[in-house]
This record gives sequence, structure tokens and C-alpha cells, in this order.
Amino acid sequence: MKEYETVFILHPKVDDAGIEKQIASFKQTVSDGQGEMVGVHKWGRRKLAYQIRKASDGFYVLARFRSNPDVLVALDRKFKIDETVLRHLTVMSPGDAFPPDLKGRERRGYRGDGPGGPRGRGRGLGPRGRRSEGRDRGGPPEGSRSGPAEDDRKVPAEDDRKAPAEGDRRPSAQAATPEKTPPDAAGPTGQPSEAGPGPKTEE
Amino acid sequence: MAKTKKTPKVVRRKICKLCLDRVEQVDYKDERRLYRAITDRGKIVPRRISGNCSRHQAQIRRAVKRARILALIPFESDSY
Repeated sequence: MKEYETVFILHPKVDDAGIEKQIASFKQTVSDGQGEMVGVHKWGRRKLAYQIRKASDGFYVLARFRSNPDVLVALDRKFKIDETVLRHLTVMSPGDAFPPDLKGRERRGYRGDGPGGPRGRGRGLGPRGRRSEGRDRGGPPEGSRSGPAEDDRKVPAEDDRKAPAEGDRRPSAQAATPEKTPPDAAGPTGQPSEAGPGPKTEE
Repeated sequence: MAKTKKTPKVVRRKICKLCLDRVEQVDYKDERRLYRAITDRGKIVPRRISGNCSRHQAQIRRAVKRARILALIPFESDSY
């Protein structure tokens, strides 16, 4: 008697009664083969990663049972005949706690990682990032972080308010000043940058 | 000549991230982890890129193939 885990996907058209019927039928097949159920878990309606028989979502059911290998053949046959079962997979049970924490494993909130995520350097931040987050949840770092972050937000906001106000005054005083002011503003910043690379290239 | 002039390769030793996380077994239902183990095209990220140890890479390979059957992750994907 080995422990197995089966996942099967039901067609989205199957109603709640139909789902219960399928589960009952599954249990019956297992018990017919002198197997014993460990548990059944309704994973729920999920979007499929690709269309199966023109269905783009399906109802996932997860089941664990202990039985002889004969039952697997019977199950496979049953699932293949049944047209409401889009997919089924029976594997050796991983042996973890049965109703697994599937929600914690869902992809939710991970779409940002999508492009570049699995590739090269971006991935390196994964475990480190998680660890730092874990530490932050501890408490004190959160307070210290949120403090300066709020200050940073306020300061630029005030600058932004002042800057447009000055800009409004200048054009109102003289029409030609807007043309003059940009070169003046660019001057101080432009000079050091020109001076910087200059000596380097000479050396 | 060519051999003597070759600059030594910069070897950055990669560490298996699953070992760091102390993952015992990669689960084929662990959608979140598996999406990080495949490229945006749906291919399994090779060890030379991911730096996974052989034990965990084998677990990932198996889990990805199972998850593909159950439409948890795509066999191939054009959308990226």
C-alpha cells in the first residue's frame, strides 16, 4: 500500500452537484480497489495556463489515498472515459501535510518578476530580498524606514510647489526671460560637467 | 601563444537558491516557485544560469513537467 496523490481538472460547465458527484465517484473507485482515502481537497476554480478542449479555466480537485497500484489503472481508465475531466495526474504522494497551503504558493503578486525574473542577475535578489523583508517585519526597522521615507516625500513636494510658482512669475514680468532662464540654469550644472571630463582626457 | 595570453576566467560561484531556502522537495503544485524556474518563454532555466544544484534541478525538472500537464504553467508562451 503506497500513498498516492491525484489531481483532476473538471470542465468549467460542471456545477457544484457535478463536482460532488465526481468526488464521490472517485472515492468509490478507490474503495472498490481496497484503497483508503487520506483526504480530498477542492482546490477550486483556476485559470488554465493554456486552453484545454477550448476551456480556459477548470475546477481543480486534489485527493490523496493509499492503495495498491491496481487502483491507479482503474482511475486512469475512469478519467479517460469521462469527458468532463479535462486533465488528471496521479503521482506518489510528496508526503507533506495534506490540505497543502496552496494559496501561499499561488503566483499572485509575482507578475512583476515575469520578464527578467528567472534570468541572470535579477534572480540573485530573490532570497536576499525575502530575508530582508522577513527582518523588517520584526518591527523596529519598519518605524525607522517609514519615518525618513515620509520626510523625503514631503520635501520634494514643497520644492515642486515653489518651483512652478517662480516660473509663473518670471514669464509674467518679461516675455523674453523664459528663454534666458534655461541657459542660466543649465550653465552652472553644465560647466562642472564639461570641466570634469576635460582634465581626464588631457591626462 | 594564445594559451599563455588568455586572461583567467572570472568564476563567480553560484549557490543553489533552493539549498539556501532549505527546500526539501519541490512541489509541482507550487506555482509560485515554478514560475521562477522557467523563462518567460516557458522553458526551464538551465543550471548554468540558475546555479541550482543537481538535486534541486532534477526536482524542478520533474515538478515543471508535472505542472505543465495540469496547466498550472504553460508548455510554451508567446506572451511576455
